Amino acid sequence: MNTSAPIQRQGQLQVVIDSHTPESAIIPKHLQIMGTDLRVQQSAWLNNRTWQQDLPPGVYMVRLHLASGKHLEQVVQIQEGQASTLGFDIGQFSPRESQEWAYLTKASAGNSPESIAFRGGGNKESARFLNHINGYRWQLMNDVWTVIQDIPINNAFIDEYGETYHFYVAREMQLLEVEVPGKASVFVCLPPSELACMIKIAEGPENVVPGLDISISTRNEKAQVLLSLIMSGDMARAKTLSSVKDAEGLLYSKMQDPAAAAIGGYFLLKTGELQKMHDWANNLANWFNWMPDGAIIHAWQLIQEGGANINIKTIRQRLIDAVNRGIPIYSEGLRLLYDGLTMLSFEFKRDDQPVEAALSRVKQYMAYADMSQETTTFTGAYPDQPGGTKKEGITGNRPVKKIT
Amino acid sequence: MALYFDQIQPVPQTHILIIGVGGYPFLNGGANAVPQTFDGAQLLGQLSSPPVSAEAFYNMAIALHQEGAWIKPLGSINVLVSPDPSAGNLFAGKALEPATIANIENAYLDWKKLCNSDPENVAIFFFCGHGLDKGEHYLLAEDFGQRPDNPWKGSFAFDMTRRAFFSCKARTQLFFVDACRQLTSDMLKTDLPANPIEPPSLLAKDCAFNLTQKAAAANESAYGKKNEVSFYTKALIGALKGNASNNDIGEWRIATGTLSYKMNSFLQLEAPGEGYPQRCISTTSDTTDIIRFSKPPMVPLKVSCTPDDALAYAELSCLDPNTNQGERRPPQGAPWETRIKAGLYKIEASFSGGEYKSNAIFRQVMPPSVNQVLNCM
Repeated sequence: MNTSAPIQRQGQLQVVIDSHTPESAIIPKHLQIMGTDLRVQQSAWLNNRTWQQDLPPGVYMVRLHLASGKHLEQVVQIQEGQASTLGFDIGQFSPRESQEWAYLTKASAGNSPESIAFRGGGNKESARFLNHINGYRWQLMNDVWTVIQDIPINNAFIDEYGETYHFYVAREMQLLEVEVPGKASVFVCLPPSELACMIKIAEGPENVVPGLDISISTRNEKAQVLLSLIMSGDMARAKTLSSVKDAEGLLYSKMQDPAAAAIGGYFLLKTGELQKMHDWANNLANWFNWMPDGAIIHAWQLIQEGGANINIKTIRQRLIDAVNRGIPIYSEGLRLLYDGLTMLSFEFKRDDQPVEAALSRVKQYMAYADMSQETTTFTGAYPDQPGGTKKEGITGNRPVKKIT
Repeated sequence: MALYFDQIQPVPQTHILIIGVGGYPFLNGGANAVPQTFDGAQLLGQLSSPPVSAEAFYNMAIALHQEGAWIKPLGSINVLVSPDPSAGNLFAGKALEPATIANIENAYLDWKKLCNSDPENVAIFFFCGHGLDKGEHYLLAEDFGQRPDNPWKGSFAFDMTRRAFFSCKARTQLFFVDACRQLTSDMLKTDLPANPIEPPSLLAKDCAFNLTQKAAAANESAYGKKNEVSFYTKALIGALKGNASNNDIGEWRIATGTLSYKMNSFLQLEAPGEGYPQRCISTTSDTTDIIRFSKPPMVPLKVSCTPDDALAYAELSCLDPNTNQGERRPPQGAPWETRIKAGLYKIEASFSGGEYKSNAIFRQVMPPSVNQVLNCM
């Protein structure tokens, strides 16, 4: 006599992601399926619009995480032999199609003005805005900052909804300046790529003069999501998105995408997987000698490898090179540059003039940097003058003294 | 050393240093206030929240110890506290050691020595008090402003100090700083001192698991209500007592990474009426678990009906949807208030007499609390 229990047929869960634009489907999103005890039974990274999985019958919590820190969750009852479909509308996080990439990937983008979580004016009577905003691009070439007036931000009106711009940045040290009448300009470092840039009024109380939020993204969605996760500290999720091997791959593929290579380098420094960096950080520093981040990552690889034969001379040179190359593209790089130069200053008992000069310059940026942003962002008068407001009009050439 | 908790043993443990500075005798409103020349010192006065926040953080650490929740058992808590003139009775039964710069330096070094005893130790630093920031964050001790000609003597450079602490062998290091980060115009004109408690060293590699968290972004302030625990410290305590826990791997644990990426959302819950979204800033490396609960957190649950009158007829239940096991309450006039373990439930109001419309929803029940209103119209 057969006394075994009848085998239960599985059901199927189908997940459909709705967004404003089809392009948002390829932004990696983290799906977790949990039982009633909230233990994760399955998880997956989605980079398309649909996903499906067979599951035993039962009730599950299904949670969808975005790199911006937002998440959606729903409960589903899976029945034997049947398919159940859950739709997740991630478009609700963005007021506009053109801004979806920012609200889905950037914690710093905050909440949509149409969201109940939004803190700010939020309605027509008290909406905050800034008028007469202009944008300029600055390029550092041969130790001179030069303005390139090709950014289509002219006399713009920026409110809590903001505007989105697209432009291409070549493999050079470049900054975007967003000039605000009567206030310090906001400067943002630009990674070399096709970029999307969203500028809006930051969330905040109605009676305070608003600041600007400027979000920048390249087309490398996976690298961008990885950057967001490591900046927020969500390292557990970052490690499921990108294995150490993937990060190694980003660093290895520096010729295709040096900005993504830098992100891979920062990830490996955080996880302490120094052996995965091989000689690639050194190559990133050598082959892209306009980019401070490669020099910083290589210096920190040497610092972390440490040991009795720590190569202080190379560390020193790399960090001074980084300062001479301009401003680190990523805030993580600025922080590491400051920390590294501070340690060198103590190491040499404040007696190494080039180190002191480099540290003094970096300190000025640190004083005005918004370290919550992924790309280095600071306020100031000019690229070489963090802090303060312009006293004269835009000038085309601002030489920077090389530290030797 | 103000060792308020001492169960130090030669095994991996958690060692905590708590500093709460509310009383600044040499600043505005202080017992020995002196005219200040530096604008930062002129603007600052007494703070009622930090000593209360320090005590709350201490009580949280003890409560977690009593629950056996610290993965590395609690070994020691050192406390320095400088109450403001209006403070009530704090740390009852304990002698208060003031947070002067000398005491802070000694306590830091003693605490570091404890943390250094085993690489598997967990080092936790908590500071609540005044702070100023010009790229480097200066934390102000009780005696800040004693020498108006050299006010920085009563402070220390936190970021440099934190970097120096990487020379400690403890692989897990958590620093929580609940202090403002204002930048004043005098600071802009001055070269500020490099005055860490100990100098950072190139030879010190980063620890494996770092969480360094500041309650405010640069040039911004940290907030709280008078004589109450500050918003950030409330959010942090709530997080550590369970709000940041998850059961992802089949154990209710809290990881350093979760404390980083979720803290801003916890902070916003603490101060929903405030217009300004205080932003805390974290620096992390890899993530590790520091707290483990032996049982799922118990969550306060309140269930009510719309209209209120339906409650007199409603059989309310909160059941595991897969097993139908859970709690039930027969009809009563008032909302149902109970505590259930965290999880996913079917919460239902049913009316056997058909007086109102039965309604059931699935709801995740997670800390801090859940309030469910069922529409029975």
